[in-house]
Amino acid sequence: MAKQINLLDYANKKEARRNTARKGLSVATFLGPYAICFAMFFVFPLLFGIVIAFSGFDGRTMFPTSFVGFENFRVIFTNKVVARDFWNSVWTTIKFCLCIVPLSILIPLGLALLVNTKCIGYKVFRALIYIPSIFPLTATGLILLRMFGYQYGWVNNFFNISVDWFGNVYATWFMVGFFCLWCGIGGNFIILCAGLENVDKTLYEAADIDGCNKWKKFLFVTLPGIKSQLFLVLFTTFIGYMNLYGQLFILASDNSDPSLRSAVYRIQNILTGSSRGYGFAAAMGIMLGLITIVFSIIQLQIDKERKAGTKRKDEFDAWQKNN
Amino acid sequence: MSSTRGKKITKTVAFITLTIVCILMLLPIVWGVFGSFRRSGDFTSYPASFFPSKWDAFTLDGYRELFSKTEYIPTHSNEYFPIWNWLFNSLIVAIGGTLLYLIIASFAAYAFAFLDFKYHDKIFYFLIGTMTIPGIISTTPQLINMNMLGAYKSILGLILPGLGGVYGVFLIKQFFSNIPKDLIENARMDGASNMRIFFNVVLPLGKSALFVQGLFGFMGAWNDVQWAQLIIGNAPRTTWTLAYGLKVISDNSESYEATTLVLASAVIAMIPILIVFLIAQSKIIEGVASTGIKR
Repeated sequence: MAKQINLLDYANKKEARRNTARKGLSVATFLGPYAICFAMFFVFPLLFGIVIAFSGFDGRTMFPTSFVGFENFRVIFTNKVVARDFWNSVWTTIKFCLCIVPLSILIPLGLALLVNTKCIGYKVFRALIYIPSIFPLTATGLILLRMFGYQYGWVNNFFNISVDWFGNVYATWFMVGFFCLWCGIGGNFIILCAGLENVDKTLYEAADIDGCNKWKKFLFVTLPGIKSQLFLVLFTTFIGYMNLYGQLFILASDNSDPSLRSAVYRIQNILTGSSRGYGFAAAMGIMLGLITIVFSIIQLQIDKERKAGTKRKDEFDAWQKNN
Repeated sequence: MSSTRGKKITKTVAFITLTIVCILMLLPIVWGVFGSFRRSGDFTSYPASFFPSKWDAFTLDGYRELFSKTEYIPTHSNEYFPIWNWLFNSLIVAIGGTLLYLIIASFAAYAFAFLDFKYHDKIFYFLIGTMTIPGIISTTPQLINMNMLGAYKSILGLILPGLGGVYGVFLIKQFFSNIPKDLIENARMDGASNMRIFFNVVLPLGKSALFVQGLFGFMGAWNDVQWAQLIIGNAPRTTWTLAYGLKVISDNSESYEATTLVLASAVIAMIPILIVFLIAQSKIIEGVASTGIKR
């Protein structure tokens, strides 16, 4: 009898072990390929970046040749030329962000509100407004370059003016902003449209009964209703324009004015150039990344504070109920 | 009564405003498309005309000239635009890279959604957390990484970094999680292997997720300029992609006569994306709305 139990135990154990082995094998086959790719193309570069930021390059190869400690960071902060160029470009990027981010949220929000009236053909409008966003930036950008050309562009011809749209720094930044809005608002617009569509309709009816006017309805029903979409849009747009490169590269690469360079532009210039300053580029990337993270945390904190606000209210309600 | 009338007025105002906005948004694109068929002398016609000003002004010269520059002439090395190679490379990167990523990512999504292994929730949350890391931090080391793998100056370097992406896994896993667990359990009871469950149960039910991710993968890869400039910018022109090549066409054709040619190249780069958009317009818009990917 005892022997039989032992045998059963043994069989169970063996079966269990075989099952775990089989399970492990299937996990390995399904997760394995991605795990390898994730490790090689995401985790490794991230860690390697820290090594590179502390390394020196001798200018002949792409491989780090020496360990230099905080030298790269010291140069970024104190070297007259490098520090000035880099931090000016960071400041330029932040200034541009502060201008363009509100616009690329408010304009799509306005358009989304219009589409949300469900007027005739609103689905067509939604698709058409999104269209400029789907094309390669180089294609739309070079159409813009030609259309706003100084001598032969249609805009100058049609309005009979002679504005050099890409002639000076301010005009070029204006055009870059225009380009960002033209080809950048589509995504935000679609997200906000979806948000507006999902706002609870009964809330509007309740507000009507309470005698709210349109503005109050927008402020107290619509905006809270699309809060999560607004934050998503704010977040992604901000991070996107902190990394501003493509639009500037296409419209302003032939103008060598340093105030037309964003932070990523500087880094990209180092990487495409022949100077092999990869250590600096990596260090600059880390600095820019940290700045982006700090701004993102501030944004998250604001979001949280709002949530805490309702928490206080809930606490108050609960307290009132108990008394 | 008055409220329905008010609504009607609101709708009319919205309609008119949206019509104007749409016309303005599409104006440059329409101008570009017509410009690519326009004789270069016609751009300065007086009075200024948005479309080619007369029938004679229509021409295919832009396209003809563009495709005539696909041969390398040493004396005009700046104007060497092997556009067939660029189209081919762009298609390989956009379609090949996307398909490869879809396979890898959907396998991983299946593992996270239906396989029971230690810490699978925690690993997944960790993956989501890594999405907040700004990409610029790993741009430089990724470039050197590609060089070490021998993918620098080749289109392989445009495909590989995308394979480690987190967003697709996240998106597909969310879709897979909506598939009833009972279905999987039943299939398992019937003795189906994980591979069979994946291909015969999960994939048919979750293919819309793959479709959405595929569309965005295609568009992202086709439109990419920044990473392409780093990887293939210093390579021979035949290994370039179309989106990057356009910038160089534009830079090397500053002259007024080349306007038609430049616009023609832009139109060629826009056509595949436009086709994709026309086929899957509703899916793309739905996808943006539900996932928050923008490009």
